[in-house]
Amino acid sequence: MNLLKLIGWELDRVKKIYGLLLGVLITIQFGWLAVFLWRNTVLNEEYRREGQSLLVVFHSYLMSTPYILSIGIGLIVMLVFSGWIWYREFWGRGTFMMRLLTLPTKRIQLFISKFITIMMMILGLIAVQWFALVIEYQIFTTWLDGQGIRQQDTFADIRQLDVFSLLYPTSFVNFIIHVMLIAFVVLTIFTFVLVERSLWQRTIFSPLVSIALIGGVLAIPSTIFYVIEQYLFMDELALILVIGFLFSVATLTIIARQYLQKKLSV
Amino acid sequence: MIEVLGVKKRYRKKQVIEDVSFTAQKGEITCLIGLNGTGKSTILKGIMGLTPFDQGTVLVDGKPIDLNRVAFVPDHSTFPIHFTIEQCEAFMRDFYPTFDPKLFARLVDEFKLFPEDKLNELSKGTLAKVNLALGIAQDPDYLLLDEPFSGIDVFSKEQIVELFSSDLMEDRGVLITTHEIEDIEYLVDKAVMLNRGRIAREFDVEDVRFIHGKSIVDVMREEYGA
Amino acid sequence: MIIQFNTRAPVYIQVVDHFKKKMALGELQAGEEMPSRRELATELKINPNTVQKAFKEMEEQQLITTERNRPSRVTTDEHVLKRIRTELVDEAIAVFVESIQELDVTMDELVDKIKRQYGEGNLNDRSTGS
Repeated sequence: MNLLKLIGWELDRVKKIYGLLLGVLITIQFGWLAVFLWRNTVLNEEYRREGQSLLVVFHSYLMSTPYILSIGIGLIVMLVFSGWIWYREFWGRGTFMMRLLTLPTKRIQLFISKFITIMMMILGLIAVQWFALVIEYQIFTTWLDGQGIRQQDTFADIRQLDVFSLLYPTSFVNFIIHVMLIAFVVLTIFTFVLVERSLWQRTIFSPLVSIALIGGVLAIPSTIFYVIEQYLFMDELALILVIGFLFSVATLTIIARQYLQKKLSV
Repeated sequence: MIEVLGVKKRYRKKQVIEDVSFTAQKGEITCLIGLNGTGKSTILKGIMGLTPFDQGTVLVDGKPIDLNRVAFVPDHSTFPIHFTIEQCEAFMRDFYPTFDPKLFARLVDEFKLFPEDKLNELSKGTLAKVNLALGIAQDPDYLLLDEPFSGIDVFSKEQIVELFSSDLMEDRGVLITTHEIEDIEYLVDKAVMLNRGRIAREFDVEDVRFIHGKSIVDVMREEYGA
Repeated sequence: MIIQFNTRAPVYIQVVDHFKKKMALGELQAGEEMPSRRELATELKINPNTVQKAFKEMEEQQLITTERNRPSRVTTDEHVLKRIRTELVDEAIAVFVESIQELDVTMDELVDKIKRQYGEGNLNDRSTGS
């Protein structure tokens, strides 16, 4: 029960900034789409006067700086927020963290609630981006058709782009794998924060020590993988990869749990 | 009874708490006295598990601490400053099964607080009252108070001092840190004096008055005076 | 009720002394109900345990009697009440004599001065302080 309440509180606290983030991203994308279409319409007029015809591809909209920027902002904000969701509790002499850590609730529930909150935000962002993409494509084709401007790609081609193939995998299995990878990144950031916040009263180098510790944990499976990679077949490689991933997840979880329960210092 | 047994704590290169043991009884007011920066707050935070000790144990009635039964009131807010008093109360009600809204309402009334006020709009004295009200309304067996009088106005101080002789504190064990003992000289059952990271003295206040004819300040002067 | 406490003397004894004075002066009558411990602690702004101790001391000195679950009452024993008065007067005189002896005053001069000051009413009734 407390877990649900905690998630409720977390969501309540992020809803404004999250709404703002979505607003900014959508404004950038649709604003830029309007500018993009207008420029091409004007350009098309010039071409027509010179007896040529213009070919516009949806890719060039997606691959343009403002669009990449909007995706980048979303990515960076979510990465930063994965750390900030903890750091903000330490703001001003560790105020709210004191409350949270002295709740008559298992501390791991705090961790889980923050984790779920971040995952919901990220997946929500990806979902909104998908709908935005669909609508952007609709507007794109409708407008260009209306102006009689030639265009080439289909909506399915969009997924050929690296960014979108990552965000929108074509199979359910791939989707699950991608979500797990995202969760892994969040777990790594959470573990970093918990280790750093446990050491900060002990040493001024706590960020470096924390990075070293987590880097060390992740280096073990990676190193083993690169050393034995050349001696293995594909199936074996996949298995080793899975084992390495599970090892990393397990170790990070154990470290995060240990520091959260025994060492975290306000 | 809260038992602090052989705790130690290092901060960066400084050993803040060398080796500290003492007890605080239920139904009594125990005062942890020390000059500024001698680790009083660190001990309270250590008891609550907020800043884990490097060594030693803390037992509450013979068991590891149960956060339903021990409330901690630091000398600053434990809620985001844009929260209103109402929002703080809602949070407490949500997460503390022991939280008593009637008790809170009574304290809000006694302290003349306005529930719709935001924390960042309050004076330090009013904020101290809010923190204390939230802590007491948890209806805990033990109440840990960190410097409840530091830097607050004289009338807030009076109102807070009055609480200690009221029924609101009845049967609770209170552990309070302060460097301004004058405010609570007549309220304290037992004094525990910290000096250089160790317990310098631990005594029954009335006994010292009776046997040695000394006030707490007299003993402090002996201990900390030049 | 305000008591100006002395930080160097046990608070519970100061509370006991305060009540002795009230009894000696008749402000508290024989058999009269005592204030509750809780009220007293709040009023005097002192530790309830201290008040408890003061009441215990007064019970031991037979100044008050307490029946189970009833408010305490001032004793109705005339002997005890007389004894309190004698005790207080003796104590005050002892303090007075000790300090006046240091000043090397003759008995005649002393008696004379006391009579004069009493007559002028300069020696006010001081029910507070100790």
